Amino acid sequence: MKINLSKKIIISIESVIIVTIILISIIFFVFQQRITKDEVNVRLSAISNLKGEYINQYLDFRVFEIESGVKSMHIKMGLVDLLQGKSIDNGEKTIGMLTDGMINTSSLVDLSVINSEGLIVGSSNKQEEGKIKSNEPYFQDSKEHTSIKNFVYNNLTNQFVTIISTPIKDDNGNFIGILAEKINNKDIDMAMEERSGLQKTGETFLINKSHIVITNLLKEPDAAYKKIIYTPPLNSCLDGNSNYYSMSDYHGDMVFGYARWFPKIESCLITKIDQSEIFIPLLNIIPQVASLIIIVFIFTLILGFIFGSLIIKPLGILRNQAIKIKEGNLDIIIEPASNDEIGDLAITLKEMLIKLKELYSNLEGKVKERTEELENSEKKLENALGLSEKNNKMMIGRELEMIKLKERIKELENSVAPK
Amino acid sequence: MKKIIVIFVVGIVVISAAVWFFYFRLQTNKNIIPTQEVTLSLKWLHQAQFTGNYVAVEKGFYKEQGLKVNLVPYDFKNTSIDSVVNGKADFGIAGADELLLAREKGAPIKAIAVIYKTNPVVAYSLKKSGIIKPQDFIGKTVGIEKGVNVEYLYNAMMDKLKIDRSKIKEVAVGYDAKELLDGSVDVSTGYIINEPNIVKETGQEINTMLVSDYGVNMYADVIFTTENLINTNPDLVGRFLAASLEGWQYSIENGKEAVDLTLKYATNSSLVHQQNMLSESIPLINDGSSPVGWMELSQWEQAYNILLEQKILSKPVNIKDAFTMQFLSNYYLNKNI
Repeated sequence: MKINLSKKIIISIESVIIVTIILISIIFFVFQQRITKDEVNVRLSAISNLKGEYINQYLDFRVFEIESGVKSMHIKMGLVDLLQGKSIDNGEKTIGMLTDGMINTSSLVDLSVINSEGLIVGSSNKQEEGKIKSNEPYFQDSKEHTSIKNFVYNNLTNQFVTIISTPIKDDNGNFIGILAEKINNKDIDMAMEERSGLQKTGETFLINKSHIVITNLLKEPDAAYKKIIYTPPLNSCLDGNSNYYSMSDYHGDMVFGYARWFPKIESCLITKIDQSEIFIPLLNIIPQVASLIIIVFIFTLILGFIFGSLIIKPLGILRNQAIKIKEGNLDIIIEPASNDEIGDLAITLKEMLIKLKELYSNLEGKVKERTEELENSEKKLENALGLSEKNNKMMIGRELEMIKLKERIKELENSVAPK
Repeated sequence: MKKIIVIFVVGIVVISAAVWFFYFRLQTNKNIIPTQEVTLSLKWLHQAQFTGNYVAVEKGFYKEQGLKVNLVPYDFKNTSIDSVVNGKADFGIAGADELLLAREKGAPIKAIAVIYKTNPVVAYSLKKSGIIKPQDFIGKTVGIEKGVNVEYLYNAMMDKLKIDRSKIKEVAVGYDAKELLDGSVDVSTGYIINEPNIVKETGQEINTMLVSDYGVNMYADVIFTTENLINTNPDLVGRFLAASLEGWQYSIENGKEAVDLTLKYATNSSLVHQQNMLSESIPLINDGSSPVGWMELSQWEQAYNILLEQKILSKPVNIKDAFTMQFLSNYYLNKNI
């Protein structure tokens, strides 16, 4: 297949430019992807820190409230009376004082006073009174110091609650009981659902040490306290190691995530966002690159034609002159049209034509001389051939006469021989 | 040049065919795991108490583990422990108390997981009665389901609370809440997943008092098998447990569908009753403190102590031999979802 030079030039230019654009785009995409991922990780970490800080402050405040309550003179006296069986109203007044001002009741489920044997002796919820909590981890842990136990199932209210409990001590510093408040997770849920910086697909949620999702999920709104998640980043987080990750989420979507260990509530705070959303700006570049390729293609096509014709036109003239020379026309005039390689080629062709002319004229003289020589030789040969022919004819005649003579002699011999 | 192209194309085709062939074989092998038939003896009749197992059958979790599982309900002759010990079943579901009692008698069985971590035994009253705690039973008539663990767990609770029972009239009741509904008792006892729901289904509001809230907890349903099977075929035990736990986890996450599947077995029950049973069961199974099925030594010790205190057990039993964490640990260690 013959491809003319102008097409070859256009294809070459197109290929080089388009391949360059594609390579630059790929390099840009890869680098931008890394930069985006780093930026996302920083953002996820910042959101996680903010929410973590909020939960810390929230729980610290709740701890402060309950510890302040126990330390307050009047309340402490009431609690000691209740625990020592001296209360005339089952601690109603004391618990009322706590819930009427000292403790934030917006997310309070109940507030209970538990004696040293684990028996609830007074509670803001009368149905709690008489229950025994001696085997509960929070009872054991709060004998010495305030304890926070998160996401414990409460049969009575059918919800998971956080229990903050603090020891009650008598004037001699002896442990005599516990003040325990159960709070629902409304505030923590709200903190998790706050969407600042999370775009459309981002979310934060908590998973406890049993791998149970304990706050709502964006893609499975009804999954709290039902769904379990076991993935390497989460397993590592629940072992106390915060980590960034890139993998499929509980819904099967590829995400960037940050799993942050939260020792205060022994849970892992997951902050994650879909990769598809993160890479939308980058993916938007693809049509732009495609448009650029098309524009460059058309542009280089036009340029190719222009530059091609600039190169091809003088070459075409030279080609036509060469054809004329081939046909024997040595009288044409070749003049270089440009001072470049094509001009050099024209000069060379011109010189070649001159040489060819010289050679041609020399050749004509030599042919004439040679022809004359040949004619002379021919004449000489003809003369020589004429003499030779006469001699031959004489020789042949003599031979014929000899044969006739011999035949006559033979006839005569036959006639005189005896019969 | 042409020759090189032909060799290249043929090479690609051969490699693709080989990859496809091995992939197909791998996929096929996955599907042709030989199915092993095993029997699970249930503690009671078909009901939402065993939803996890029904789901594991119906959703193919057992099949994925190469198992065909027959679910056999209680026949009022042989307990699940009898069936397993006699070799009629490979696995069983029973209370921790039943298992400890069986071990006391020398039965070589072990628990491999717990389903009901919180015991469902409950005292319940009509809301309008104002009886909200056991201390309120004084001067009232309390109905007790005699001869089952409800009785001694109730006794244990009352002992723990040091309530003077001479001031309470205690009578025997059946399993259908009839006595509370007809007013012959002020308080009745039973399982929170069953009898109180019967009352609620009549439109009446109730107060419930779980014995576990009063310091008396005992694992209710545990999955068990023989020591022999554990020792000789631990792989089978592991696969059975994995599928059972998957069935329960699925039921927790998809309660409505789980109830629909349960009704394929509990054919004589109503949708509402099974729904209530499952919704009451799930908090007792999935309490957030540990993964589904997970057992704690302290809980086994508590059960043991209750049985000793109530003189249900007459001689010591080595608690650590009554259960194994081998299969649960393995299951959760290798889990990746």
